[in-house]
Amino acid sequence: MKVKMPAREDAEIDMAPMIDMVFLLLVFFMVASVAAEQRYEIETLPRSSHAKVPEEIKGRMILSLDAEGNVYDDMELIELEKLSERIEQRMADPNNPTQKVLIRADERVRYKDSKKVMAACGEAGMVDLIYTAFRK
Amino acid sequence: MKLLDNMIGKKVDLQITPLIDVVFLLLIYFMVTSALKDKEADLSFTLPAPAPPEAAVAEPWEVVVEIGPPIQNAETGEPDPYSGEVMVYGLPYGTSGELDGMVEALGAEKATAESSGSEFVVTIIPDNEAIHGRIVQVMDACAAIGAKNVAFGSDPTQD
Repeated sequence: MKVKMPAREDAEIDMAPMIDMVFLLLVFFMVASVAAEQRYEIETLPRSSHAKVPEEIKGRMILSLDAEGNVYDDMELIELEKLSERIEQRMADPNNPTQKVLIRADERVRYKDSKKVMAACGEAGMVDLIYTAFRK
Repeated sequence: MKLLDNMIGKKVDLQITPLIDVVFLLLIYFMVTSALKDKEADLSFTLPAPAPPEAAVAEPWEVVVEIGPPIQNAETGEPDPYSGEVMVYGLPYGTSGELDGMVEALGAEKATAESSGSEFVVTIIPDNEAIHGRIVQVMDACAAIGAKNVAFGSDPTQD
């Protein structure tokens, strides 16, 4: 009996979908890494083994405090005198009202400097504060 | 003219293999750098706020932790960010490095507070010159025992 074999074709892998996927992943990781860097880079954040990695980060105002005691709102350097006013504005923001203030302070900051930031928060009526630490 | 003839006669072919190689390299680079970054985590606390009248009825069980100024590192001359005398009711828990016995002591205080039915509160009173690393270390000890009420107070002898 004669068995008809299918005509042998050149085995080919379709590259187009794979390239699409890889490009998508590439764009995702590029955007994610850029989005994560939209804040002032603190040289040495303190370390803590019991700090909790947050699940919900909505409604947070992020302040960065460098070793010299300079305060940054995201990337912008702000004067301490104007800080409480700025916090009040954020708390009154109808789109994303600030409920908590996250303070990313360098481990070399002196208490007299971090106290000024806390005092500004207190002046604005913000009592829920968070210090940032790296997980050990 | 031979060159021109060659160019006209040749079929234009786009090489995608090097492109895919480069894209893969970039992809791996971004994946690895995003995974290598340490995660930032939270240590919550509250500022002392005027208490509502009904809350003022129950007296909380308060533990006061004092933190002193840091000591200089002998080699670099810089203050060591994990140094400074930590005292709980006048009892020292070390001037640098790990806080020996601090977690156990706070845990015992918390257990006593719970058995007496009062709210457990830790108030941290750092010196003006106290360093943030040491403060976070104390807050870490509070987080270790699951203390929910951590607050900062101020030393009445300082501004």
